[in-house]
Amino acid sequence: MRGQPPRQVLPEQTFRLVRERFHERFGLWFHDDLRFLLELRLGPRLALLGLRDFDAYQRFLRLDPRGPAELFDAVEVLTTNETYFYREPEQLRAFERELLPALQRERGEARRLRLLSAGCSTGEEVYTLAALLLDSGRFEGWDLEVLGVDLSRRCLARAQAGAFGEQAFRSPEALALRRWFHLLEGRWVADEALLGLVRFGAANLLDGQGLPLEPLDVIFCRNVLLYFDPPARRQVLRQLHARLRPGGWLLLGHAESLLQLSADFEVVHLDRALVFRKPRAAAEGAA
Amino acid sequence: MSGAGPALALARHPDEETRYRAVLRLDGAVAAELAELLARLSDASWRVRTAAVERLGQLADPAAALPRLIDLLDEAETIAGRAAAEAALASLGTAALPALLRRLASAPGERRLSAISAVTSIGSRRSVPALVACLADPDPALRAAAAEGLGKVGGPEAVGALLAALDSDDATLRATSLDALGALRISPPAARVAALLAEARLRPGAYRALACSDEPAALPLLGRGLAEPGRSARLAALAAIGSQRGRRSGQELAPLAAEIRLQVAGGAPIAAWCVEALEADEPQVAAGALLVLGWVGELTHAPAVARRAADDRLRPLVEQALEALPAGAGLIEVLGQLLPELAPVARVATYAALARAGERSALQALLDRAADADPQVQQETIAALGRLGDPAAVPALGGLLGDQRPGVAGLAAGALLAIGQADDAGRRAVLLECRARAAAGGSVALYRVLGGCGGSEDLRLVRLGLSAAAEERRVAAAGALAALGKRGLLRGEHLPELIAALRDPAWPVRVAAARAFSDLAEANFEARFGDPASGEHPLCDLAMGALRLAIDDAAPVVQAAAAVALGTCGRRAHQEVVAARAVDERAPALLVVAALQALARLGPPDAVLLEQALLHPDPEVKKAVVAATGQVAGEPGRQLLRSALASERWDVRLAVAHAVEARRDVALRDDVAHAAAADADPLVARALADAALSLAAGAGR
Repeated sequence: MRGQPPRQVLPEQTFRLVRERFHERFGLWFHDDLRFLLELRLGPRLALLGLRDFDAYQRFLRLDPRGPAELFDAVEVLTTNETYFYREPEQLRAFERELLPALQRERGEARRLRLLSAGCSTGEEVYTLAALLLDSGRFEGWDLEVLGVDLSRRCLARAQAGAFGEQAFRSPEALALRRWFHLLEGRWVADEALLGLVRFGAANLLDGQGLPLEPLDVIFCRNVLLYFDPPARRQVLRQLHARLRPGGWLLLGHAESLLQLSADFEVVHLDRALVFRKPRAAAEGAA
Repeated sequence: MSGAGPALALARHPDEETRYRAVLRLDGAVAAELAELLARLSDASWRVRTAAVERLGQLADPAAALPRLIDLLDEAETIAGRAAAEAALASLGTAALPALLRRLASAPGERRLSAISAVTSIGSRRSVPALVACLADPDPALRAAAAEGLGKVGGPEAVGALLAALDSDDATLRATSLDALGALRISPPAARVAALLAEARLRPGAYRALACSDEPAALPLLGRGLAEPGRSARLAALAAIGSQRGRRSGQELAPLAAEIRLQVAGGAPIAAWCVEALEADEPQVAAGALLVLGWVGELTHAPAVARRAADDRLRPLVEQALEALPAGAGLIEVLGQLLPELAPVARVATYAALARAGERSALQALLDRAADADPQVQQETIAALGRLGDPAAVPALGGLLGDQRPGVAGLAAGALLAIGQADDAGRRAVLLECRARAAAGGSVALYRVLGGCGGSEDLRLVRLGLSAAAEERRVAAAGALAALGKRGLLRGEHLPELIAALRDPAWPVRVAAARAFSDLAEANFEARFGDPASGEHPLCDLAMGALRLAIDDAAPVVQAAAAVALGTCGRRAHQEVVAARAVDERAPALLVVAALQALARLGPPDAVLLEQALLHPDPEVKKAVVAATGQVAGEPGRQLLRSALASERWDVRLAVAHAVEARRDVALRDDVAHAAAADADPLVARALADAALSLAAGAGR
């Protein structure tokens, strides 16, 4: 075969050292089974940086002043998960039917809502939430914002562009959302109404850098915790808890729970969905 | 503790949040509050139970709590309450261990089972002898629980006991021991696994255990595993094959591929099973299935393989599997029909496979996508064009060298390099394109391509790049000079621009220049243009003088690069100035490591200096010391290795294991043998044991 550079081998011990760097910086945890992923994805970085092998790469990450910047570049090629509109429909239906009315009641005086999609990848969840807010018709004239944060600047750039291919609408429920998009050169581009509600930014969920300071009403953090090991998950949940207003909601992926991770949230059973809530004030004397 | 009274009163409040906050304020040092904490372990709310566990884990003196906590392991009314008691004992750690071990030794039936569970959740090696003793208990449930526990606690003693338990008469114990070894990533000898495979119930565990085996004899066993009638055994074999892909080269795996092809030829429906396994959640199973489908090479399964390219984790493996399929009209037809239903990135991988099979329209489709608006599609396409190595892609890729979007120009340069380095036709096309573009001014990506496949006629352009206005271009030009030198195209030329770059205002340029000199010295050394042993040197005096000054640069990263370059030049006169950096307590690890590496190239390093450097807290420094001890003969070298062996860092101890094995010094055999027995890290313990065995074999000869 032509054009194939020699494969850079990532030995087990070096894999462990490289993995430690990502864990220290971002809390991301690459299981032993994913050694092949790091080998294949990071191999090309070696040539780009002029490094001989993965051992030199791990030393570069650890010791060189350019190491921290490289960690950010490397994480781009390791976490590029595609997502799509209206993912996990049961939970989103519960959000529409139960949480949005509750939020309308609870925040009716302030007429202000702040939603966060933590680990928003290429932004489909953010636009889905914005469309659901608009579709509900409950928040006319309110100050609304749906913020998406992610580590990957490449994903954020795509999210910011607000242009999506057919595949992003592969969920049957997503087709109805298309009324908030228009077709331009074969891609579905978000309308002004949506673009006016959404905002994107880089954030590290582990140390909270980049997360909004203003208290949030709802945080979606779905299928994100699985990239962290248990101590890092606890740390991320502490960050999210601190940023929710009392009574604010946390929605995790359908296969995720807070068991063994955090007791700071109440469990609330909605119709066909389980969500978490930051408790309001307790009885006098216990606060 | 102020406010404790109200907390005690509120700990039974009907409101969950109130109870939760109250429990977090209970003081376990006060008897009544400790009793309440223990009672709250059985609270209906998991949040309250968790809070109680947290507070009990913080007890300064857990003695008063232990008897009741241990009783609750069996006496709590609910499973949740019993689990909370176990969690509280685990959070107390080794303080709870003596009482639990007493319970394990003397309590009746069920209570020993709960004690064993609590002991293993503490995870202390001190519990291993008691757990090993339980492997011979008359109660089969206790034996299995002990084996499972040993798999969680680990250590050489646990591994030895689990290996021995594989010979037990108790089938459940054999199965549990196998799983426990798998959890510890320990593979029994392949011959032993082969015997275990005779038992159907042990097969999944036995195949999984082979995932970590480095024995050639493991591969035929895995090949046979794919023909197992039981699905779980087949999936286990596939997962092990997926793991083996990361442990061995393609050449080493060739016998396994041959074995599988033989079975397929004999009618085993292995490919169909692999297609089914592609949907597995476990990445190693899917990875193994992709590898096997590539080996089997049946076109009918190509669509199933191509569809998996939509998965980011698996896409590189899918590309490799598609590349392994026989190219030709058959593949073109099968994949061509599939294209409309694929996700955009999966389509890119499929177009690449089609183009490789000779479908020109697929190459055109890729060329169109090289400028796709979707960044992921664009980047996957550029990488695919590089892998294809077709010179027809050169103009499209050349047009991207000046692209401002993140990563695009770098990827295009990588693709052009791949094409240029594939063959003469590719190189000619790439150079034609790049030289034409260079006339309009160099770019970072362009310099990279010229360095990688340019000729001596490109030297002038690259040298000019060292005086470019943009810092990143000067860095790239220095890198290109180094690359040209590494390819033997610079034969001792005087490079005043590169010497001047060592004084560039931007430190990245100074680093790149020093690294370039290091690479040039290395290349010239190998080509014998300079041989320090004969009093010659691979760089001119002016360059070495400039490097000597650069070692005093304000930026440590420049000092480090200069030290490495001086080491590569091989002039002994530089030993002293480099050594000073190696023992500078204030120097960052980056510089100390570089100085140690350089010293190792300048002759046998001084043992006292290495001893001093070993005190540096950074593990990379310690590993550099360990590497340098290869040149320190006798007892001083041994002492250094013994000191490093006591490091808390697993990677330092691993480096010692490798250094000892390379050193072939029998006097260290007992040191590594003892360390192997005590090391908690399986990888290190294995390497130390290998070193001890290798030294023992050497002593026997």
